[in-house]
Amino acid sequence: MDLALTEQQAMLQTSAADLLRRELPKDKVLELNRSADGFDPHLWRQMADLGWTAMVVPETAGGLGSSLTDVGALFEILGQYACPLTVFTSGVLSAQVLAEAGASAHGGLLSEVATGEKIVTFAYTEPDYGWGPGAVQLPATRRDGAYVLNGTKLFVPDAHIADSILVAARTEAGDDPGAGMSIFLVEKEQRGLSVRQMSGWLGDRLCEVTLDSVEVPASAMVGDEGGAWAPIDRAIDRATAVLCAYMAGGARRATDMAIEYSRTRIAFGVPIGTFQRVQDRIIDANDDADSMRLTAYEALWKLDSGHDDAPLAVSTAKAVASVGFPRACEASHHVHGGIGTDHTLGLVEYTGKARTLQPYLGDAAYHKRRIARLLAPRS
Amino acid sequence: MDFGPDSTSGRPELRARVRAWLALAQVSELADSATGAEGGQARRELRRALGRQGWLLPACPREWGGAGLEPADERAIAGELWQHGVAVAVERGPRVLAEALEIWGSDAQLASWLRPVAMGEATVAIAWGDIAGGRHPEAGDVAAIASAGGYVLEGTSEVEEGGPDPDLFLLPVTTDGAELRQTRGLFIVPAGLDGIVLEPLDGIVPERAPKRLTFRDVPVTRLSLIGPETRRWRDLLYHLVGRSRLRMPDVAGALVDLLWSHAENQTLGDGVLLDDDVIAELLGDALVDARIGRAFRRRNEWAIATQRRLTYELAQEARWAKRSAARLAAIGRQVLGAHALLAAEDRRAPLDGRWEAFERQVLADANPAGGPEIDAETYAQELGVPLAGDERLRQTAEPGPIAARSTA
Repeated sequence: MDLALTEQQAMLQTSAADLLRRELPKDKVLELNRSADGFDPHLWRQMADLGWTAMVVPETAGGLGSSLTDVGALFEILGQYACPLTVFTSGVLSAQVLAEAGASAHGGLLSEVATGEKIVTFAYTEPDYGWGPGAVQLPATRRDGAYVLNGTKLFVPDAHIADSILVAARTEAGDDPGAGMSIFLVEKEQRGLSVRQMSGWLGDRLCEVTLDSVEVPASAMVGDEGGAWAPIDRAIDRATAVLCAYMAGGARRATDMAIEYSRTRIAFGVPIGTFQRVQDRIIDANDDADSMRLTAYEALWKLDSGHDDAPLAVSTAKAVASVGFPRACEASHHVHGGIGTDHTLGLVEYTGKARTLQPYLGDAAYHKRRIARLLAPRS
Repeated sequence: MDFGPDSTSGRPELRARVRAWLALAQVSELADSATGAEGGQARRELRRALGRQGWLLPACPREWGGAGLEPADERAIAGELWQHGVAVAVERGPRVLAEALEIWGSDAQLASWLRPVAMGEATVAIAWGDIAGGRHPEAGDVAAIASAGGYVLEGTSEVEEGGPDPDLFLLPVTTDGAELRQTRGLFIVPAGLDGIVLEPLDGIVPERAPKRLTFRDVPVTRLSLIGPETRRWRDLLYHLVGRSRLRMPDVAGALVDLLWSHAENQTLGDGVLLDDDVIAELLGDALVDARIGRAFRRRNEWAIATQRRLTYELAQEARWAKRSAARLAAIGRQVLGAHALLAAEDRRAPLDGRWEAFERQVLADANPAGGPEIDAETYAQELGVPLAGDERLRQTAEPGPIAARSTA
């Protein structure tokens, strides 16, 4: 057993922290969150030049082919700095979907994702929100050698700035929700496609994607017709483990802010850390941050090592993170009191992330039920 | 990173050896007899039999009665023994003593105290806290007075575990005689000395009923003091308890497995209990809690093995174990329903009555070695949160003198 990061992973974290400290101070995070599109092309270019968008892309497709633990180590730091998740949307989740679905016909796109030249997002969830196979109902109807997509995708991250959208759709109806699902690559300029940024207290930009009789050629299909669920399931597992590392980084930062504030904020003549109710909230938050980190890295390691129970570890990590991140932020708000809600402090940005990521790629209830499904066959 | 094999299922060959040994006729009979209030003699014989295998404290060196194995091996052996109802294999006292002696013990102390315990010749009971003041190390009320090259012990404390007649008591003792009573030493005291009075109380775990321990001018030699007298005794004690916990089996993890198995096999309508989404989520909660507890424990084990500095982590793990055990007890009641109330002797008891026993155990375990409040305070302090009177708590860790206090 060795729970230490490798020297290279530690260096990766240091260089990432150096860049983000310089380029993404909390004022900049706030500025981005308040901008029209929440996107900074200059920062994006720097991250892509450092290879952050190429890590999960296989070397054969022009990527770095890094281990998921390496990627998780990077994203733990990104989480600490509340970095916009476009690098995850395109460089991890969409890249994994492309890679897992066997994107030989779209190898050029994967290379462009790796270099950051193209931003791709993955549209999966619909008005009947969910992350299981049954949640995809948007139909793709074959017509004259092409496919016509009709319907709505909701809560799609970064669709407003994406060049292309990977749309999960149903090419065949049936009793088995895992069968009959396919993936289509839809270009942003495609006629009938419209994107609207959704509004609310969101940590990242989420969009409504409407497909009104969008016709795509058969060559737009990524992978096998009707066989998309298995690669999507694998891709989501791998991406979820990375996202858990990001959430662990965010929870750590929110917790550390609370610890620091408990030392310096004086009330009734003493630091507020001397109050037991404040201590209780801080150590609960610290439990969350630590358990999120440990379960995330265990999931990453199991995926890298090809363990049979890696999906179980992933669902455990996301069940922990989906509860732990919001709870750590809430505890930090409790410690900070009224000042915690002031945007200039920075805590609210983490809380927004926590709220947004709680359901993303499956909430705790979804993953606990998945754990039950994964464990049930053992008897 | 390398998370290695799961501790819950690890060491299959070692576990198989334990099972084969337990299946031996004379061992099986002994194990069956070593339960309840009448099982005292059988428990002693079972301890000796386990001691001969080196399985009471397997991680201790062979020369002191162990088997020279790793803490994870000890956890696997103890876990397998616990699975088969051998409760003497999961006592805290021997493990805290072993940790203390392995760090500070002289050869004479190792020979006098550790070897008899590891060989099953002597039982050791932890005695910290007093009944009125709450069961935690700070509440103990036993003082040591320097006398003729040794000490005289006075005061009362509360004993847990060790059966009805423990042979040794392990307890923190005030050594500075000051009002703040900060400086303490860890003492190991033979139970048969004149002036020691042991009064049993009516506890909810019969084999581990707490007892009131009174010292009336009890002289002990310097051999009884393990390690330094220190103002940071509480930290040291937590360190010992935390380390000893790494040698204990993952009881919660094993119970979660039993609960899952029950839910998979218990019919409910046309399906099984696990088909119910609410039950599945409850079991998911239990599993996630157990996995977090295991992750904390393994992190601590790794940190100790690689000589990394631990601060809050030991208190964090102890607090998590207690709180998650209480949650697990409640989840079990929901999954098992009213049947969870039934003890092993009732033929309708699910899981061989383990849940009823576990619920008693959870309550009894909540306070030893520091109740949740003390765990939380130690955790917060080590995390860097300022505490009331912090400057006093952070006084030097250097040993203080044993105060010569008048007995007049």
